[in-house]
Amino acid sequence: MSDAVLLQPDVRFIRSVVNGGGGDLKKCYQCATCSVVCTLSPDHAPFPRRQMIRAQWGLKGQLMGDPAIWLCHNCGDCTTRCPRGARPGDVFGALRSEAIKHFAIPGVLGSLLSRPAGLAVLFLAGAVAFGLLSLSGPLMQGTAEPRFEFADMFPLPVLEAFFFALSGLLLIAFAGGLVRFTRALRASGADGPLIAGLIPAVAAILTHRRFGQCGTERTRFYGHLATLWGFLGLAAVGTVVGVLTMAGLLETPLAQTNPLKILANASGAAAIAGVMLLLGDRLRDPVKRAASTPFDWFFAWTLAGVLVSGMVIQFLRLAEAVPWMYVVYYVHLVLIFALFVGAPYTKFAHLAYRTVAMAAAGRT
Amino acid sequence: MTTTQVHRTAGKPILVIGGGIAGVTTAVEAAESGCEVILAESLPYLGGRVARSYRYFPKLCPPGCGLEINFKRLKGNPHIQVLTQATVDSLRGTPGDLEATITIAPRFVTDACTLCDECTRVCPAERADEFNLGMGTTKAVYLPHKMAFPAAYVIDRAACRDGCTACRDACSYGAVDLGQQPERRTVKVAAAVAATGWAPYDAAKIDNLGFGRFPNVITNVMLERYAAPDGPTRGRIVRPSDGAAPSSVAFVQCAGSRDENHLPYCSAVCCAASLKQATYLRDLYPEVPATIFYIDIRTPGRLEDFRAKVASDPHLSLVKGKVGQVTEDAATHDLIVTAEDVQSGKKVTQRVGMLVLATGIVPQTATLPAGFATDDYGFVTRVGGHIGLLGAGCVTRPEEVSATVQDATAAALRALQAVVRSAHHG
Amino acid sequence: MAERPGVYICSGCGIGQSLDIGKLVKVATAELKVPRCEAHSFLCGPEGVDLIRRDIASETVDGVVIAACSPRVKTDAFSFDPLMVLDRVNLREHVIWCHKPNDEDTQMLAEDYLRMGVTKVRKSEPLEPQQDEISKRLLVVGGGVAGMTAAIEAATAGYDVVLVEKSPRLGGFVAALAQRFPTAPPYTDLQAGGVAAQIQQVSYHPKIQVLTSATIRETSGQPGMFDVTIAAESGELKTRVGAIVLATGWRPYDATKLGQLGYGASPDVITNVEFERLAAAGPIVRPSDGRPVMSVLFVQCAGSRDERHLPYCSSTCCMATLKHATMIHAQNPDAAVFVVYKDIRTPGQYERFYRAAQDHPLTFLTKGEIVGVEADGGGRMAATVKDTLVGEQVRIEADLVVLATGMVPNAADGAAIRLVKDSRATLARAEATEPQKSDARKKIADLAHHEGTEILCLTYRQGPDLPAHKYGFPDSHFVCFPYETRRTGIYAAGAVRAPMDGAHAQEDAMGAAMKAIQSVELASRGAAVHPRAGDLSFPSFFLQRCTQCKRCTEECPFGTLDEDPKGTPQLNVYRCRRCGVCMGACPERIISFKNYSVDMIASMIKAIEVPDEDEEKPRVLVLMCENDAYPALDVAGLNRVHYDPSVRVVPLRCLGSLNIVWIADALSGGIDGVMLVGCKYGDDYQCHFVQGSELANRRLENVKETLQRLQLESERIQLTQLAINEYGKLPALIDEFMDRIRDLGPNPYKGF
Repeated sequence: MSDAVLLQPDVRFIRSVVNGGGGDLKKCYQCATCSVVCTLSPDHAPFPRRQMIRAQWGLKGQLMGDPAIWLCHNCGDCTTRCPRGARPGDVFGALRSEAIKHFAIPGVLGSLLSRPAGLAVLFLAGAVAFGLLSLSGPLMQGTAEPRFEFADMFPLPVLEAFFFALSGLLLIAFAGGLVRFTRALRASGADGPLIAGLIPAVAAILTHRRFGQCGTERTRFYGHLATLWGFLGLAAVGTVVGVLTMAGLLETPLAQTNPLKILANASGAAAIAGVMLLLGDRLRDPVKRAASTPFDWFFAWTLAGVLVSGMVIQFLRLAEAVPWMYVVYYVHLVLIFALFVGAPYTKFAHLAYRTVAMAAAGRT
Repeated sequence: MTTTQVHRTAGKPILVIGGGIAGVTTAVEAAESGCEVILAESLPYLGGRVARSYRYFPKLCPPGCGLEINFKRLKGNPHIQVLTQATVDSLRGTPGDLEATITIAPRFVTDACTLCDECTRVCPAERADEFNLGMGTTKAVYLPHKMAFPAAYVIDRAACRDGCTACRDACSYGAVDLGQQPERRTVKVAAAVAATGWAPYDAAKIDNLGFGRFPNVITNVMLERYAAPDGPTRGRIVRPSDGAAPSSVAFVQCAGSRDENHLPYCSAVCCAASLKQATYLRDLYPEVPATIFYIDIRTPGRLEDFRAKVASDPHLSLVKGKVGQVTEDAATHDLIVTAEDVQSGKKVTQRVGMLVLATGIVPQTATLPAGFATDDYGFVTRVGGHIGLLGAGCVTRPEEVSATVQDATAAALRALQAVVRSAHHG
Repeated sequence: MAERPGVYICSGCGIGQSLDIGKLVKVATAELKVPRCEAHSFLCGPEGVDLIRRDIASETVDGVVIAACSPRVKTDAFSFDPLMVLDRVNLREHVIWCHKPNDEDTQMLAEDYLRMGVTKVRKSEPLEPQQDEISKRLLVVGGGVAGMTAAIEAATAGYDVVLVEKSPRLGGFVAALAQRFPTAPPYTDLQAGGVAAQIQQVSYHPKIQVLTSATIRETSGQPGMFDVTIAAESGELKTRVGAIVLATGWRPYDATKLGQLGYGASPDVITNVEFERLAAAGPIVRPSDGRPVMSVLFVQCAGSRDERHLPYCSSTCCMATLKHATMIHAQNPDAAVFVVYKDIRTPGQYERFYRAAQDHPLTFLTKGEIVGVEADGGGRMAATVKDTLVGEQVRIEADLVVLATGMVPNAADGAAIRLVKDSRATLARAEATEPQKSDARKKIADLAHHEGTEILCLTYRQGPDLPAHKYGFPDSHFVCFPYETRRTGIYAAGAVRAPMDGAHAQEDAMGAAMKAIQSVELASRGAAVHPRAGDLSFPSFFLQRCTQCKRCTEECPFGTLDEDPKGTPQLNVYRCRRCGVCMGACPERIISFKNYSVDMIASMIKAIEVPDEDEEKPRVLVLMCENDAYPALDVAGLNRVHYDPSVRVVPLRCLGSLNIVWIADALSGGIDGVMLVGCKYGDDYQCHFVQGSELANRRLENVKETLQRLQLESERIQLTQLAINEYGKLPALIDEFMDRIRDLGPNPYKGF
């Protein structure tokens, strides 16, 4: 029987899924109610029933490249209806974090940042880095008077070098991970046109069309939508302002009436509202609270932190509250650092993974 | 060689609560061994759920046949006292020495009734026919069903018109007593056996399967009544929406059973029951396609033969995969059911004329007095609680008729032991 | 003989309005010359009943004919001395409710029924119950959980018990179990195994005599007086018991037949029973090299649900495997447990254990079909599985493969053993024809494996043990009567009756013990057991005219009759279930009950008035099973459905008691046709006397000759199978038959 596939359960994978939020995985008895109640599950390749038994059997290889785990928006319909209490929605959450860890480059960072300890280290690194930088900044060196200019806090050239180097590395790592992911997708038979597929995929994500199909979970829908748009808005403004200032075409701080400023504030407000909705949703429902992992919390709280601290800085600056504004700015930067450095290895990455998976699966 | 003479008549009687197949069996088996038996049934007739079934699996024989024999055994046995419309309010005492208080609701028709049927001819009022699960009606004065035991009419006073005495005036035998009052009795018994059976799980609670919202979604117990010659359709299996023959039928197994959100246990009989009901369908409609959606087909022992026999029907398919979604075509009242065929890994969507939910067994303990020990799901523990109250049949576990009769017979022995004990020490 | 039958006619319920009561009274008094005949408008009322009671008390009458409603109703009102002769003439359900009122034909029907009723009573004798010294001691065969439970529970109810176990130790299969299935809430935790407490209880119970290493040499006699010879260590001993519980349990299916599943190929492929021993012996190690087991593959339905092996499901293997998985993980949480199943079957509360047992990271379940199991070269076993939920064709490697083999009953098929014996006798007989001999040889070949399997060693003519039901289980055939037995007073219990686990076997054993107790209690009152429970009548044989044709001894469904060397039947009355099959079988008509006889029915038939040919009033005799067809006709009456009034219905205890002389008498007496309505037969037969209607059908073959002799069309006789709930069809069936009879024209023998 050479054509028979040898089944070798990956026990570490099973345990990791079980401890990573899929604690009821093993209770599934394959009735397939989940595959039917899921509004996103396609007829020709329904999920999550098939993925459930593969996860039960620890068939990691078959799961990591399976786009299905990214087509799920964790609306929880399957979990609500599951007659066995196996919570397929949570299992999929765990599988997604497994995938991010699995494809991470370098792998060591992937597994490190999948653990709370690793995340602590991340914050620490940011704190130290910016601490050291600020020591050699104009303010500390006394070469600049305290005025309302954040640039004085750090040696600008060093900061910029540091920033570009780091983001470069991150970009490479992230891209590398995604390439490995794409290979896995192809191997598992997901043969959607990747580049051509990206446009509709992105469109679908921006409009949240698929997410919108989820029967339950309206709060999470709006929360997620607001967060996404707010975040994109901030990213856009940030980039534009950054580039223009470096090119000396723009003088920060911008006036409150500057359209860019208005857009930034609007985006910030939207993002904060969104992330608060999401956090509130997780915190209110005891079941969801229990089902949430450090993987979930880290992303939500860090994002919230970045946004809120950003707003606070602005107010402090307007209030001319020295030196508080510097302190908060420092915190703000540390949070941003964590968020960005963690991007390819934490839940943040789902933004990219889901997009690619949707494109590859040709399901938008 | 010694032979023990058991002076049962010196012992106290046993009380059997519930007159379905379990209760009737416990009663006759105990009485034929010399016990005095009081059989208390809350309905006006005996036979319970089996009296309302069309056929037994796997033999496809009519329950009425075995009931006829058992009723003959009851009639011929002076040791059994049958109380209908009787509820046991309380049971107090110690094992072997219990005091039961029983309330007997008035029947409003006395033993003088001859079944001449003059009363129903003149009765102006109607009531929902509980024997047919509320599908159809009877007059306010009625014979529960044609083979009812006791063979006597009964009046549903709640359904009567104010001040109406038509039936009493029409009765030539003075058998109608509209002034009858509830009767309360206190009896000393050696043991009490809970045989109150089961009720079907409320299918409306399984909201994704459409029962109560779509007329052509029915339950397996309703289908039994449709198939029965004394049912609301006189044996025709038709769609409630238009009374037409179904173009196709699907059965949903585990409708509520094996489900943490509903009944966490397996109801044990639904698989064989649906296979049986597929044969009803075949008898009436040689070519109507039918599908049974299941998780595991559970036909233990020789029921496996029955599964094989029914599954060989070319127009019946068994699909492993639970129905998760049911919608209705409002125009035709057809139903669109969706499941994943687990073996092919594809979703199947079927348009069917009628959908049968294999709803499960819920222990019926509402009519039981306090004192019976029950498990997490309300099933009475068979061996008896602190004061030796026993259980038999589906109120103790979900099980088929033959298993019910088997442990009803076992319960009769437990009761007999209590009688012997009570006879020996006071 | 009832010399002074009293006739009591009720004119209530519309009978008076539909029939000429006066004429009925005249039939009774002037024609039938009964000493007493009263009409009453409310016979079941206190006044009417008093009327009858007074006549009985004053001995004005010695038999009672009540012409009113169906014998199925008003039984409380019309209950008198059970020994007295009584008949109920069904003027309501069978006459006025289903025939035209005040119509000549309806009146004739009523009058005929009255004639038949009076004749029946005249031909009946008061009953005299059988009285003997009845032993109430019970014999329990088998010392497993079922047997021990039966013994303990019966003893607790006050009955002496002798328990026979063939092995040296009590406890049977369950004694070997380390742990048992959960039977108490929350149904998720295994229970401690072992049966030490029960063994203690049995061994020291004053009412229980335990015989281990003992087997039964012979069991003769009948309920209430079985004489059992037991070969025990202490030597042979004889004892008398009243009833027997057969609890001989089961044995695992012979795994050597499961080569395709790898059994025998390696010591590391074992059965679930062997696994129990392995687990009980301490840490689970590989039989081959004693190394600890890190992975186990369980193969469900190994031999069960398989046409080539055991077509039935063994019911317990799913739970057993889930239990074993739990035991393995209790020892070694890092061992992988694979389970390949067809369906997981954990009925009722057992579902909770399934959920708990599967909830371990290293328990792997899938539906699938084993293609093959072989050694993988690396010292492990490898199974190829197809159609799984994790791939179409997969390979699973494990240190140990456990085959969940099924249950085979430890039973002997008495009927088969008898057949072999008879066939050997045929071969020995000089005058046997070659076809007979070759048939005998075939039977011996087919049934050879039954030889030497005797357990009870009954001296019954019909074989030494309970006749086996399908697949060798001596189970009941009836859904509603699981303890129905074809050997009165002998009840199978536990896994020998049907595949079941220990807990269910204990429940089952209590039921069987109850039936055993009941059979001795009824015997002590001379009464029959189910289905004619309490019947005090019994057959008597006028042996001077017996021709030793052996039909009665062969056809009795319950092995009641033995034979002396000449082949003369010997009645064992307490084995008898009073169906009258023997009476129907007897060509010499020498078998009769005091209240049911060939002569009685024949006379009732003769009592039917057959109008002359020119009156164009056909007459048809309908012989009906009284448990199913007769009530069905009652319901037709309740539904006021009309049918041809030319039929005359005679209820029979069972269609199997049909004696063909009745048909001959009827036809030669000018009756135009005979309709027989009995229970469904075939594999799913519904006859509670096993094959009554089937026997009747076979006997009709002989009637054909009679018909030819009389030059009558065979269409004049018809046997119809009817279920009790087919009352809707019955009137139509009757009318169809009447139409056919009318087409055939009148019976030429009218008026002879």
